[in-house]
Amino acid sequence: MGTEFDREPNASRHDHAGVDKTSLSPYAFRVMAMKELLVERGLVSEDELDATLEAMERRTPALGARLVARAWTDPGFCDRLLADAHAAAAELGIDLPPSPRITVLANTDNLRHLIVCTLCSCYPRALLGRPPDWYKSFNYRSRAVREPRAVLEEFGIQLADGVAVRVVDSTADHRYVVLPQRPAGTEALNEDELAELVTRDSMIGTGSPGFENTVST
Amino acid sequence: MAGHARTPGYVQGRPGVVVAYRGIWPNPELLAYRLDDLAGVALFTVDFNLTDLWPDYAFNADRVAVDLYEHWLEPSKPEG
Repeated sequence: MGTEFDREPNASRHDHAGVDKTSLSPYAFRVMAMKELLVERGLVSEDELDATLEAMERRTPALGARLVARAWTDPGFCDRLLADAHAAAAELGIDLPPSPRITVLANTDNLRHLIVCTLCSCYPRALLGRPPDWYKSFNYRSRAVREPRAVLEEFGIQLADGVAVRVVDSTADHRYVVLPQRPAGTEALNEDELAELVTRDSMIGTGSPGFENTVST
Repeated sequence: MAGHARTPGYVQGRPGVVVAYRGIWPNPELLAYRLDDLAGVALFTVDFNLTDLWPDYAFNADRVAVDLYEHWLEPSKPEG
């Protein structure tokens, strides 16, 4: 499911001169036509579009991973992150726009969160960047609330006995990020090393921090 | 008003528990039509047991949290 880097060609360059429009899909063609009309009528400028796209591209799961790693190493910060993610992110110099509001939910020994948006594809972009394709698929969106354990199993997650699943459907003006549990055996790692273990999927709930993949024990 | 409702069909009419207040937000059902909503509506996170949504669901402790605007909620009938 390595769709993290599936950015569109020319995603940040909106000069369509030289683009062979006959090679575009009907949807891409329609988007381009609408964009050209909006620019032509002065409702939005090319510079504004480029700036918005660049700001979106700067958001990556590394931002969320920094918050998780700090929360793992600093219990006080962890409490503040769970209470007010915006204020806690600001402590690390991460500026979260006021809307949509972001809330961080902690996994525990007996509770595991799974984030979905059944109605569309709401996603905590400010901390995780662009969503993976599977997050937007009908399959994931419909099954996450109907058979979350089967979905987790397909992602390779085995739940221990006594662990409950709490699916979180992002239906409104809030976006949710999972604070995964710190893996055992990471006591010697510093904050930067811990951040490298924090995968995008572990913050959606479909993965776990990738310690076993990087260190042999 | 129907239209751009943000309350998923799978929880409509089902019992849930309000677990968090998420503040006042513009009503999406008005916002979608560019209608003014200066007052806004309260937003809550409501937890539903999956066994209350799907009769064949096997794990009692599993639940789904859904953010719902206040005008979609009504008090449950008191239990006897």
